[in-house]
Amino acid sequence: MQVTMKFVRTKNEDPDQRDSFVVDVDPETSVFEAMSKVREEQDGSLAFRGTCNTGFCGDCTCQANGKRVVPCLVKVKDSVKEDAIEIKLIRNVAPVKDVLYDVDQFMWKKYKYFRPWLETNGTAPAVKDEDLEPVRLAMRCTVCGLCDEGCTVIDVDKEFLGPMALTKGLYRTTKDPRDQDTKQRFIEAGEKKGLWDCVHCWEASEHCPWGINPTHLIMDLRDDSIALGVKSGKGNPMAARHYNAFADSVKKSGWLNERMLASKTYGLPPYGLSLSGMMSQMPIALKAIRKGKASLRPHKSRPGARQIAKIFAKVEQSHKNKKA
Amino acid sequence: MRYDVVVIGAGIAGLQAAVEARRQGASVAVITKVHPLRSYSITIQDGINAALAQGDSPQAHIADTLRSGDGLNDKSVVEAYCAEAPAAVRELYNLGVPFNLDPQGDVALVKLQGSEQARAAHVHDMTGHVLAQVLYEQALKYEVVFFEEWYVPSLAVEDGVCTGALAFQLSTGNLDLISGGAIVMAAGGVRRLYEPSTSSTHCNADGIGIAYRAGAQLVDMEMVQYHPSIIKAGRLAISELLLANGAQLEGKDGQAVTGSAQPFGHSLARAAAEAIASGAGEDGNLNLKTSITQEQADTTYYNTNARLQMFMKGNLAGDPIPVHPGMYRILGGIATDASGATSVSGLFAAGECAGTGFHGAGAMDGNGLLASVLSGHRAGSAAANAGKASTGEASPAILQEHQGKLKPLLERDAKEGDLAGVRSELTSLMHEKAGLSRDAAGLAEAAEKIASLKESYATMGIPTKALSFNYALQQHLETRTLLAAAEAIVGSAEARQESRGVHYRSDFPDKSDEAGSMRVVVEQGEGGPQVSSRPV
Amino acid sequence: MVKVAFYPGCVAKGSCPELYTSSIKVCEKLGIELAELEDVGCTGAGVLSSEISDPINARTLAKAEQMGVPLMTICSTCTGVIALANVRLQDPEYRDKINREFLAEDGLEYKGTTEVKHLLWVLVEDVGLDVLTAASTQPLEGVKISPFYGCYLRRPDEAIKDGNRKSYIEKVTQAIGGTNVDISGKGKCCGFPSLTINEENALAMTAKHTSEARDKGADAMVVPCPLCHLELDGQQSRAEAQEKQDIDMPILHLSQLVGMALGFTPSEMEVQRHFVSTKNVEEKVKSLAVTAS
Repeated sequence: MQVTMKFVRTKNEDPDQRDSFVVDVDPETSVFEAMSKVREEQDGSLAFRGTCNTGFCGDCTCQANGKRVVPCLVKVKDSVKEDAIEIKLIRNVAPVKDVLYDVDQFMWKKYKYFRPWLETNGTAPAVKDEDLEPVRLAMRCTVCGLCDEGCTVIDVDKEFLGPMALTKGLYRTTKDPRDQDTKQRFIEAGEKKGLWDCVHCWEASEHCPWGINPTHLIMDLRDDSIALGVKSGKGNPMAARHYNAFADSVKKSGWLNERMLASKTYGLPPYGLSLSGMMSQMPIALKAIRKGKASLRPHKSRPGARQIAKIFAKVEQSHKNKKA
Repeated sequence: MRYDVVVIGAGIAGLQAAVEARRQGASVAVITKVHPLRSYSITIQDGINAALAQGDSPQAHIADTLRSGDGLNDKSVVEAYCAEAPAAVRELYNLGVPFNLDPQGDVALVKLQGSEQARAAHVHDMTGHVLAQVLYEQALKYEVVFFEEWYVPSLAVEDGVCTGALAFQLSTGNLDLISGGAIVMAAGGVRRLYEPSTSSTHCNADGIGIAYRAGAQLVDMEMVQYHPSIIKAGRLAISELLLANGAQLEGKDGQAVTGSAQPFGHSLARAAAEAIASGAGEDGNLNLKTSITQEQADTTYYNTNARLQMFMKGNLAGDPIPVHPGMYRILGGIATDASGATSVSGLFAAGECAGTGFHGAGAMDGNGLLASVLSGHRAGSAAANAGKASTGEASPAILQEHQGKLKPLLERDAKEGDLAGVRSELTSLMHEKAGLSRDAAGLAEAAEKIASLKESYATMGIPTKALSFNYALQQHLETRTLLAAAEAIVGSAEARQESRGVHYRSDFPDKSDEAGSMRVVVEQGEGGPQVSSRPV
Repeated sequence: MVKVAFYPGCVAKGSCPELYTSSIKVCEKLGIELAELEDVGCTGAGVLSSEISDPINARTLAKAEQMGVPLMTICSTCTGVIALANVRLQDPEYRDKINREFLAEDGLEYKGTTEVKHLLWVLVEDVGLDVLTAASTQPLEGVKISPFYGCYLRRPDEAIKDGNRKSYIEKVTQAIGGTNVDISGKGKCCGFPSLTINEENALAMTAKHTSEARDKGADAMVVPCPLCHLELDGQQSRAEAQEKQDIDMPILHLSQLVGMALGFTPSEMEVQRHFVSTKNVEEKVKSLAVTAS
């Protein structure tokens, strides 16, 4: 069939560039084949990546008719609308030329942050097959970038290390029973822009084409980090303070004491004194009191608070046992 | 820029070579036109053979490999690789490959076609994918220097010694010279020479073509292996694991299509092509049927099945999958000795582009990844020794010379589509005349056609003048390597006047003792390929 | 008449008392019988490790199970976290372990049968949109509402179960006569989970969503989650300061919006507790009330 392939050519300075091409393609073949055909037959200046043609390399990710896809796995007939396919960059990336973006900044640098190789001391511990299944899950990732592309945090903060790197860098190594450096990895991952900056919005899981469920893996990583007593990195104390304050509150009363949470996290009286905490949250707190949103009455425990405290005690004991 | 070792290509073989050379204390740079984790290696699904099972032995592995290779293997290489395989797989495990394990916690082994034993270690159906990742992790750990998205058009060879590689940075278009005490060529196969194939857009015979043009001998180039089951209108080859576990090919009326000879996959591909030619296919495809459960489709075959579901809404557990045969890999390549050294001093080769003689006339499933790992290991080690001992550096005059050649190429008048025309003629020509079935007349016609394509290519320019990501320029240079590999394949296939392994001559349908005692060697000559032979 | 085990969550009983009040009133009017669970703990809100929150949530689910009715929340985060725990607790082996280690000594056992629902889902699935329309004595004609789901009422699929639920807010606003204003970030994070950890990111998210709603002409945004409210309403002035722009976008709880259509006055819905003035919406509603009478 005849298809009009349109390319949104970003940062292309050639004044004579074309952005629309009619190609004759088999509707059963992939959108990537159609893109390649245009580049090979009609315009060798078109820039986009793409290598393996079978969905393993993840290099060709783009938007095709508004859908964010790995185009070598989408048939022309499934993408085409009114005989046309519009190809453009995915979101959250820095364009380089046409549909090609700075993938190093977008993903590879972040991946390398986690020292994504195993640290072993030469002795391989006994491992069961199922122990390695989480590692296989993370290694299934093709670095197509669709999780980072949909990430709510990267949307506002391009430096957030993001679900891809957390999956293929941190989860891959810390879940591997052969790795000997897990605790230090969590300390490094706990720095700003890392593990604790995720807002667990589940976008990554929704966007991953390979069922890897990165958001779930990130939550799992947090659980593992907490179990090792690492609630954030040294340069990122707020994450740990927030966790501790939250946990303390639920442990003590069965539910959240918001006043205590804010005070402990920000270092406000009676739990401490922090100028930055005062500056940022005090005006909000005062306004809340004025608006009747923050009750001045004492925080009451839930009826089942004692049972809930017991749950905490049991889990904390199991963490202690694990560490010992 | 000078490194003790310069590796070209970052698939499994290139990464393994780089890591090994670093371990031996060499400074190492890897030049790769795509990011390492985008290399073709990552698409390989089947396992890696090693005689690890109780009751298995390197001798048994050798026997199976020789049977598959149909008399053309380099026996000393086969013996060495099969003996080293168990340690290599254990090392990969210790480096972090999460191989599937058996209930005792040992590496689980599956039986692939061609093996008499369960011998392939695997990570579900993504073994190549994972091996490449773990080797890349190690390359990062050992601080290998990467030139990512740099393309090598030529080697620097001075007085018969390879001293470096010319390389374009794709993002800037700058041509540079990267010197090496030793060079390891590990730039993969020739898939773009054939259609249909399991083509990666980047398998353009770079390694073979560049080395050939630099004067290296090629060997066994007539040995082109096909895969029986590539999905309809796609490029994905259905996992060899499935074929080993009872998956069947059927014609449209349910007639079974089977292969009989070794190597099994290629033999099945030939049978499939014949069945399709005789009208058993539908739209040029047969049906692949499996007997696997949904649970297996979701675990062991997840990677294959997920791609099928995404691309064609097919499910391996239950649905017939339309498939056709296509070119898969080349078994010959740059002639090497057991260490990976080529006929050009200072140049080593590993992986698919290397003609080590391990596969002979037919590669057994599971031996491909093994060859990549071990040839990479050996070439990296030998190159580290050679490179550390060398003090040579490529002379800047070479860079000037190449820059000088490039300029007129870019200035020449050019038309969009000319290069694509050459390539599309070439791919159908190779499939029809130098594919599953060959004969003297067809090969002669192919040789003539390639010579004329070379002539028209020589006058073609590059329509795009931009420096940054000039794909037209890259395509131009890749067409040159494709043409080089094409003439080498056709010349070699003409010379082998018999049928053996994956090489089938309809005019010489039987094996010949005389031909079977020789390996075909080809070098670039003045007017075309110079074919000779050497004893097996 | 539908009966539910009502799990209001910490924030509705804390910083968003207007959510609690308005929800009670709306449910009463629509015949949703609320049996409030008292002896239950915080869901963990995605902050607590699931090792801790799963047993706490199993306890809550077991208490609802004893009553034989669905568990209803008025907070997306509560819904999402407890629904995900419920998904994990469908695994009999895991459920047995939690029962054995944590619930048994309390004389409790969770059998895995409780259904978790947000008020939004109850409105559409149990009350019904036609009933809602019929009950809207003061349809919000001409009021332009920008639905903001946030995360947990859109994802993950295993917790949401029915894909139709991802467009329920629009259906409700339509049923009560309002006009939807679509924004690109309606299913994204409001910023709240990052507020203490990376405040800059949190405020950037808030500014992004609220300013988009303003640019598209919305009179107000509606949220099904009090954490989104604390963020989009409570932190909006700081987001304005960080991003150096005026936004001034009123944020309504879902229950408040529905309540006004059902005939409650804005002050009965306690909109005066909000940080960002809801005056424009109040005026529109008042003028509708005048026309209606």
